[in-house]
Amino acid sequence: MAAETDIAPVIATRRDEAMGFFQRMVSKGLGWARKYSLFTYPFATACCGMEFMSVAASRYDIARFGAEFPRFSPRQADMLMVVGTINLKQAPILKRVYEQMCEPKWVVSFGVCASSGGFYDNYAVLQGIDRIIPVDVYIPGCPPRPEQVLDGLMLLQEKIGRQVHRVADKGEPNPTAAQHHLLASMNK
Amino acid sequence: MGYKATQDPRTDVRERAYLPELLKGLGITARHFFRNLFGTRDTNTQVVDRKGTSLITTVEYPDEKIPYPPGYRGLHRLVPREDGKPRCVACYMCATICPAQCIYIEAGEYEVEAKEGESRVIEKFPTQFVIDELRCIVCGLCVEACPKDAIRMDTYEHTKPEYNRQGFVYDIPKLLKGPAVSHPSDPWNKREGSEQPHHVHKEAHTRIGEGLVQLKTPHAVGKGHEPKQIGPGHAPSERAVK
Repeated sequence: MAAETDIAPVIATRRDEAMGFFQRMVSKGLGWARKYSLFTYPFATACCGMEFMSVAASRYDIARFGAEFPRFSPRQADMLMVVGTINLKQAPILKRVYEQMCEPKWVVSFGVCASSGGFYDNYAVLQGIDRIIPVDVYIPGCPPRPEQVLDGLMLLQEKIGRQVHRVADKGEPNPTAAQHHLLASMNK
Repeated sequence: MGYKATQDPRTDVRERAYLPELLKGLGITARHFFRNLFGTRDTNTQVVDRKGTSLITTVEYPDEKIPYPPGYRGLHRLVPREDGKPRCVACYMCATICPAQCIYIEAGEYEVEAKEGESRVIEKFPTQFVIDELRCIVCGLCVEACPKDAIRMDTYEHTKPEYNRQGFVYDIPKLLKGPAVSHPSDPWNKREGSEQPHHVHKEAHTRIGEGLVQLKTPHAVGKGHEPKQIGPGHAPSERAVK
């Protein structure tokens, strides 16, 4: 089925990815620290913002996952959570906000409008934010149930835990961003 | 003239000593603290039915899950017939009404020789039935539009998030699940012969309201709705007055 083959993990065989024992331990430690202390930038534009609020409230507490504090400045955030519909007018703003974030950064697209344009398949709506920025996790739903959001957050945490984290980063973007740039350059 | 310091209504010495009131407030905080720490937590959705002593009602999601409300629209499923094929006859009603246009169907026709069992009175079937769950707005219009009860959103589970968009394209193998469903009004049920007793056709909404369709939620649809067993012999009494 197309779905399974497409979500197979990219095997990184480059020599840069090879790590010694201590580097691997450091990478796991950094991965653990980063995944359980995500600072979210809830880029909320539309109705999904209500569900984000309900996830952050006490009943489905997102603080249990460490992602408690929303940081409304891209300079201080490491997870961009795009919540709601992104118009073509808003798209350059979103891209600018994404570029202002420091590495390491991850993007979660919350709801069908951010993931694929949703049912606004028209001339004014960006059909999925992955046209302009790389996305790590897609959360479906209109709006997503809080349990769905927490599932997506746990998927992101697993992804962060698996990534290569180095103490002295040479400025390489994370694998999702690298793949995104590669695909974007191929589509030109 | 003006403000007099003795306008203060708190003439009680105990209150003006400040510390006893401070300790009283701290006592309220401490009581809530120990109550939440050691009390029992009840995550019932109905606030009036909660019996726990703790005031915290956090549902610790992956470890404990609350049942979704009855009528929750979640992941779609295609309903199978008795022979395992989907009940869908590729009439495109769902695809037409879908506001997000997320359903893609390709219809195929049964060969005359290959028709056996229930397929002998059906002409079309879906060779492809694909739902893009990442476009779906979970409105439930496809379920309402389907004339064959072939698509339902009664799985009571949400669509799982994925790492990339291809994982959300659900085709027939991913959608076809659940027990086989057969209605008295199905064409293969009606054309057996005149000896067959006439089934009482009950509309789907009445069946669900009376508890005849088993919902997957652990709690009942409502109080007093016990599933009744209605056999074909009871048919005349249903239309008693007439």
